[in-house]
Amino acid sequence: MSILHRTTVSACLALAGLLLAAQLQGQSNQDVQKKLDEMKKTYEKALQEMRAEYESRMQALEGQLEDLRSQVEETAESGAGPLEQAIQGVEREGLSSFGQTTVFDNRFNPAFGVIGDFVFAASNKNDGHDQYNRFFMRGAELTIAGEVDPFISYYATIHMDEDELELEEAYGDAHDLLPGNMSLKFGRMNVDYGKQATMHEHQLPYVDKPGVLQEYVGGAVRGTGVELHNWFPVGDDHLMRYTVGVFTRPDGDAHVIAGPIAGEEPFSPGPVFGERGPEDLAYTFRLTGLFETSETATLQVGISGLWAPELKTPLEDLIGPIAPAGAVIDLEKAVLGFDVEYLDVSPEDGSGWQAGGEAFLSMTSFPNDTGTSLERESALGFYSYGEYHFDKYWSVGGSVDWFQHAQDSSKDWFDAGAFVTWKMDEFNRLHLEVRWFDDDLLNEDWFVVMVQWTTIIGSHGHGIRW
Amino acid sequence: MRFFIRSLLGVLLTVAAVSAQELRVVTTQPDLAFLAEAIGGDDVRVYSLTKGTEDLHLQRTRPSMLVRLSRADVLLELGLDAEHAWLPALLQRARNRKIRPGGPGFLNCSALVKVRRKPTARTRASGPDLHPRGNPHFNLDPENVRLMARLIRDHFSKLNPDRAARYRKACARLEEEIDAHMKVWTKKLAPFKGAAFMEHHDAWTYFAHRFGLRIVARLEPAPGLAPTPSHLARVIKIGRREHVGIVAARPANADVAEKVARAIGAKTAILPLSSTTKGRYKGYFHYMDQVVDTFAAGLKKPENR
Ligand SMILES: [Zn+2]
Repeated sequence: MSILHRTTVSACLALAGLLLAAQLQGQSNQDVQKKLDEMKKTYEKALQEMRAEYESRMQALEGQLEDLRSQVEETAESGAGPLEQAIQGVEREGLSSFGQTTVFDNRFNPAFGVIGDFVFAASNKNDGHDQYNRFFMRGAELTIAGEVDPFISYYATIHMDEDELELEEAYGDAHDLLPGNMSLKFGRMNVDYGKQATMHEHQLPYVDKPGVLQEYVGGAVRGTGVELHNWFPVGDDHLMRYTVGVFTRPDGDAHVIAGPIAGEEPFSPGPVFGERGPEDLAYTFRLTGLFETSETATLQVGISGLWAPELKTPLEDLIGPIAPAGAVIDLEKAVLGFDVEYLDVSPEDGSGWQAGGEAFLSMTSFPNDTGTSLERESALGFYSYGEYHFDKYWSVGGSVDWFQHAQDSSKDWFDAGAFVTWKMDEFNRLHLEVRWFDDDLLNEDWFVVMVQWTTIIGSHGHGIRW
Repeated sequence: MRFFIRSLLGVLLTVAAVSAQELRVVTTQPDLAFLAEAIGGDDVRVYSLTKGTEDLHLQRTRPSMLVRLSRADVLLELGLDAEHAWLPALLQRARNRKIRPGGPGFLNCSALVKVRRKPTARTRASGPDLHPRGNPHFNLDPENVRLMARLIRDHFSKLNPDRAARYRKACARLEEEIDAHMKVWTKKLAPFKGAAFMEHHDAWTYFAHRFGLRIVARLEPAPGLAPTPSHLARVIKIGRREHVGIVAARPANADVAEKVARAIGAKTAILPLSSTTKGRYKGYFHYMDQVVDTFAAGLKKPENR
């Protein structure tokens, strides 16, 4: 027992000794490790400093080298050619002085540009259409522009998204053929209707076309036809502009992330313009005034109209299989809009604000449930927005949108959103938007958070604000 | 009665004759307007589309610009894409063939200038650039202004040959003035030959070359890109080492220039990138006087290294 006890004690002591030794050994190992770590850190820091030092020194040297190179070139080719030749040269240069980043570039005729629009949208809405909580390419837009001759230029826009490739616009612009300031656009185009309907989605202050535009005209009005444009000065600082157009195959077009016509949600019974054939004409007009109210501010007011008196539509498309076979009815649609926009942005640093809105009166006819008679409905709606620009890079804003449903004015839709936009440079834009929706027709409310990145590659034009 | 009609007709004809001779000149910025006025004298009515304090690269199109362009006989632009964000769209809508590139009234005033900082190779990796054809701020070198003046002289002479002698004389007078000013400016800046400064935007290259100054860093990583904190840290490092006297910036970018200047113990030169249509920088000579004085007051004489 005692021997056993002793043995146990000695064994325990031995074990403890071993453990202690191991412990001591570990400690000295740790010390070395610590020292090594410290040394490593010191060297890393020194290396980093050296790298930064050399980088900045290289940058400075590059600048000096550039200076020297220019000086050498200068002595090599001192004295420009005869002046007259230089003027001729300038004139021969022609459109190239329009620049690399503009629509007409003589190095690439036609000029190509691609605009990519990527959105991540998250929502608490139960959509069932794979519409939210994912990242997707809203669209890549290929734009083509060129000159047919000195009088006519042409444009085409091809839209590509996850599902389809579509020739959206293909039109000619006879900009220098008619007298005065008149010009004529012909082909398939976004019709000059309203302030924001004509704008491409990536030009808007928010991710989507306002809901009222989606519901009443399908976002943008597109048609195949002709459009006459004219403008005239009012005094030295203001101008008026008008457009009249005749189109067949009028249609709405939008690539909506969130809104009454987003996804395939049955918010909007029947297509916005019904099913149109080439014989169904639509007439449009727009009249607008641009007034320079100060050195930095511009006020624009406008009125737009759209009238499609006979949209021949197969009844079956509207009320389903209960329709008599082959029955076609004439639907009528008219939408009147009033818009106003005020812009006061400093041309020095890009700071300032802008605000605007547009109100609509929609009048539309549609068949009753049994297709035995036509019903008419008038509805009202508007959107308005405001945006504050801190500088040329950053802005914040908000917008609201309210309308009575086009075919049931007793039910209305409301949404309100806030957004932050960062124009990183001339070619990239990041946008964050939160929007809350409330729809009487669905008897539901929900919110959507959207992050959008828009990027431009290649040639692009800076449009004129009108 | 007949006398009355005849004199009325006479007045009308005179007015018509005068306005026929008078050239309506539109310029994209004030230095060009200054030159057009100096050379064209009574023969021209000049209007500058910008005031000089703006960022020429970011101008928004305004209705008045379109109206002025539609009525102009002559358009003088800086060129080198300085006005690319707004001028082409306006020119297409203004429906004035006279002043479009290739038209008789159009003049790209960079034609005689030796372009600096022209990108040697444009790659996707080099990123966006507001100066794809080189630095368009050549008006900051008074010797370039001389070249611009000569070009404008010849342009006016071609449009109005009867008055060519007059334009020649006016241009010669202007060049004498440039000579006189250059003597003063060169003398004022001579002690600072080799002195280092920084700029916010890639703008002062031509000025630096003319007066033998060195630009050692730019606050914008590339023309049109906002300064990032890491880039600014690098810039400050260079500034401390290179004995920088001045950080130059447009008034709109005074804040960040001030920050950097404070960090490196330099002064700021808050100046527009051209003369202005009104205020203290009106008129090119007046503007450049103040530019030179501002630099002379801030630059540090280079150390003997
Ligand atoms: Zn620039």
